[in-house]
Amino acid sequence: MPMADVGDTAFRVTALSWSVPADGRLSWVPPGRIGHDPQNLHLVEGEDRLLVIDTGLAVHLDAILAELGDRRAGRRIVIYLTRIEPECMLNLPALLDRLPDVEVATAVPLSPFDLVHLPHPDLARRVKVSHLAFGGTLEAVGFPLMRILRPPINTLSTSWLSDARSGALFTSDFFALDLAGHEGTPAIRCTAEDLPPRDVLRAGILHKFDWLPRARQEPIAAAWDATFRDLAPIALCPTHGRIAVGADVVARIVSDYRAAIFGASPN
Amino acid sequence: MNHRRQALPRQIAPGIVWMSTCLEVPIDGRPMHSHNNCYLFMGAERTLLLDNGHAAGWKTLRGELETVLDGRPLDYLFPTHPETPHMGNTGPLLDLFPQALIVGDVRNYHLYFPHAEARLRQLSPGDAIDLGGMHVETVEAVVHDLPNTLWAYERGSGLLCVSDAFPYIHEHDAGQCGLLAEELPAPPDAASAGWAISRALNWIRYVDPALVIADLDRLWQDYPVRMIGPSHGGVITDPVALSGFFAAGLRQAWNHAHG
Repeated sequence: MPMADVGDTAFRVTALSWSVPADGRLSWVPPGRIGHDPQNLHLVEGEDRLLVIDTGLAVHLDAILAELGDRRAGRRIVIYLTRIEPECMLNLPALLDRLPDVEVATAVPLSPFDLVHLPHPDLARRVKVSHLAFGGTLEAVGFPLMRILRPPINTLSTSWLSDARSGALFTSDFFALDLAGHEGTPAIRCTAEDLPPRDVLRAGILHKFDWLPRARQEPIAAAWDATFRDLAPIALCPTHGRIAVGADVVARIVSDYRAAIFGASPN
Repeated sequence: MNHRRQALPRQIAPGIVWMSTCLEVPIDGRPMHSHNNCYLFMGAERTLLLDNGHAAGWKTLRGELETVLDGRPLDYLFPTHPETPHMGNTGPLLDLFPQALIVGDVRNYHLYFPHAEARLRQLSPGDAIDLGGMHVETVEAVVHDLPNTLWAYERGSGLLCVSDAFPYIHEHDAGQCGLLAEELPAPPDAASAGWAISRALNWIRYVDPALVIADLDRLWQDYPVRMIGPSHGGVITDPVALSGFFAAGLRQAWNHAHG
């Protein structure tokens, strides 16, 4: 069972990361870019609940089950789904089946139980699913300071989460292009050293969001600026790719991405 | 007025069967449906299932598949892209047909189905699967959500399977699930297509529909398409007459986003 790289990201926020080779077999990594891609499971601790963002990869299922079993400390687990791609959802049936006292929340406008195979039909009746709205919070599932954001750039229905308590921003498949050079590289970076250059960022962004070059840039740039006008995250927590911790390095990364997409910031 | 009703599965060409695990999408209190189509290609020697629907439709899909296959094995699973409504039954299908391979753009699948890593076959646009007297050719998806999407073309029938392109909703209670677009009481319109497009293709808010339509026009030059098989709409057998609804739907979705 692969060991998780465990790191504290922010106040009462922990990342469990497992590295997979970026060897041409990851669709979100552009051809020719190689390295190791951390796959992250973010845990946010509440008083009586533990928020788990997405469900991780099937290849890491046993390790994820073991970690969650160790770390829940008697708390109810809330699984929040940011997207309906398999890397976010495919472990959901096993987590619901093998962990007691779990509920699900999402802003995706589809029933997650229509999309995955539950091992027992009664799980669909027993497990509570909360469909939450963009702009609202996760108060209904015990995390009132966690706000649901509509990303400025997304392909499928996707949500980000902004944690006012810790300053962490959970960005699903965005800010996800920082590969580790080798397998032992920590999943969390605290400095701007060796950040991917802007041309590498642009190639990676356009690789997944390939409609962007043909899109009207002004409304997207406006949405981007509106998103970050009132946000000053101190941690960027994507579902894959290295996690960034520290206000300065996060600000640099946000600025680099903006420049890679739209050109230099108007500020 | 009596309108035709048609259930699925339905043979749409020799050796090609259309199935769907429709998804209910209530709109203004009406029980509308969005297709989640799968296409079964049965060559003389091998069989291929293009897309495999979402998990809630598994019981239906399994029954229909076993009936249509009538004892033949399923040799290939070809999910057009890794989004759960298109590949949500891959796991149980791998179990049910233990010799079946997953083909297409199978990047990431070793992480989703690690026990099936040896059963993955990566294809690129232009590659073809020989089923015996029938070839399913992979085509670059000129309209898609996830960029790792492939379309498929079968030259004998002229069927182009277009995944998330050409979607429209239909009325389940009126028995429209298995009707060709040409058999509907009224052809799909901009409103029906626009509703589906705005949900399936989020980026259309930002991209001029004329660019997308031009891409499709170029594709028609390379592929003599006699049938269009969408994932989220009924099969279209008169592309010249009916494919215009997609362009109208793109414009409607664009206009809606721009007030």
